[in-house]
Amino acid sequence: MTTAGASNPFPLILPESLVLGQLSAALGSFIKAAAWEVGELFDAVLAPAFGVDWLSENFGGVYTPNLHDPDFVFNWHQPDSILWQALPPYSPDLKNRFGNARRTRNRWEHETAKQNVHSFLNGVDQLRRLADPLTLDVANYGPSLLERAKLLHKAGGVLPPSESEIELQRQKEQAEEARREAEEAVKMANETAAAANQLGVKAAEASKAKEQAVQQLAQVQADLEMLERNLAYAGRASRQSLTEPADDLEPGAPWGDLPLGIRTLTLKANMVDLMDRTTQTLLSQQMGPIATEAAARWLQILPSGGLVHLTPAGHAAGQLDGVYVYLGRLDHS
Amino acid sequence: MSAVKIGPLTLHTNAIGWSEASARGFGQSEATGIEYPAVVTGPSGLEIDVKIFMSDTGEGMVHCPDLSGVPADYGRLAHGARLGVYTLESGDWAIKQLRLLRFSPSKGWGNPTRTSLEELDRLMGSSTVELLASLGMDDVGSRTEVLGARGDDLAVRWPTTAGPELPLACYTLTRVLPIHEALS
Repeated sequence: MTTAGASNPFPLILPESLVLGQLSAALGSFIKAAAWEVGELFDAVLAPAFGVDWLSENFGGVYTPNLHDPDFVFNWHQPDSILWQALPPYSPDLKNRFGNARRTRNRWEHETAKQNVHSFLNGVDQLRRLADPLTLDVANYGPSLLERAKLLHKAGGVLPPSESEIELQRQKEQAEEARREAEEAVKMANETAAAANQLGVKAAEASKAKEQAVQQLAQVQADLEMLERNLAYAGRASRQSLTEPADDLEPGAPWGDLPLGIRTLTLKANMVDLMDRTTQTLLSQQMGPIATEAAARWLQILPSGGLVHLTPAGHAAGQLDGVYVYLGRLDHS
Repeated sequence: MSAVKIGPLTLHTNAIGWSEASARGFGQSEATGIEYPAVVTGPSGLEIDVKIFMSDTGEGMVHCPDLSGVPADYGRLAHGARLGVYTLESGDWAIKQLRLLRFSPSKGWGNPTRTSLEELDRLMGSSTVELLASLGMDDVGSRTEVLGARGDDLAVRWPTTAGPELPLACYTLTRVLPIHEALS
């Protein structure tokens, strides 16, 4: 129910895990988007009726409230408030729904640390219960958030990495440690062999030890490469098991109103790679060539690189001339 | 491909490899050569694009080539403050003057001046020699010790097989880290 020509600047953020920060960001996107849309609704009706200064003239005091501020929008609006002229007919029930939205906003704004999955689900429900009777466009945020929370709950709280990915990652870290040790062993064996050659003693023995160390390093390296391949397969399977609305988009198409992925990356034109802004690691270090291949494809659409949002299924969106466009999927099929 | 910790900063390289390039910075002429990109990350989402460039004539530099790849507070890095890298007659590579940028947050500016291993150790909070050794360094010390040249500046020498991380790490340590510490 947005006024013509205005688009909501608060796209839905879907949580990728059930940790508090993710839930707060997700519910926050619903609260801000709903407040923005109701503010537009007020302005569309009240500006023609009372003039463009209706807000300051009717609600201004020391400060004039912000039209889109949840603190102004979500309130127990009194029956005689002019705001009801932009809303469905006054009822105590609808007034309470505004009040409950305010409570939700205040809890997540001022007492975030005390919140949890249950209060998140309740908060989504309270916002939905207000958005539905007002027929807000953002009413669809509610079902999307509830569906994602359910999916995350079933998946044990996190999407991705899957459990198999975590286990493979652990094995990979062990293999990397083993490789470091093997490299050190080769270095020492080289030094010993060189010293033995110089002194002309035990040269054959040192040479054999060096050969063994080199073989050990080759084996560890092969194990590591196999683990990296398995990890890449597991990650790909995890991402491709998800169905998302962006599945139907073609690279370069407008992203539209689809929820942006909460995982943010920097598409790096100079390195043809992606920097995970949360973990501050290159995606190629986590995923190998999948990341650099995706970066090369996405740079054809965004040649200068920049901020990219990645969904759990691996769909990427980035801004081109101020508009979000679909860049493609991490796993090129 | 690696991630090298340098105090609170991390230098990242990937497997993109060396590529042909050209750069300004040697007089006013444009030089051709090869380059290797990298990125330095740090607290509060810090991301700085850096590169090592080696010209065909054997002179090179580590630098921030593009102002857009540098946060505003670190703009000094995109205006000079390059770290010179040279090919020696032996074929090894060397930094002949490893100097430390003295950055003033109020002026937003500063210049590199002579430093010591002890000062770099304090800045980084760990051993500079160990860091450079882990990246393939052959020698670090005064110019006299390392290069047989006059002067008390620090110098570093390494074989070309050591990869691009060593000079990039020297730049991170002596250019990016002092600004980060001054701003913190």
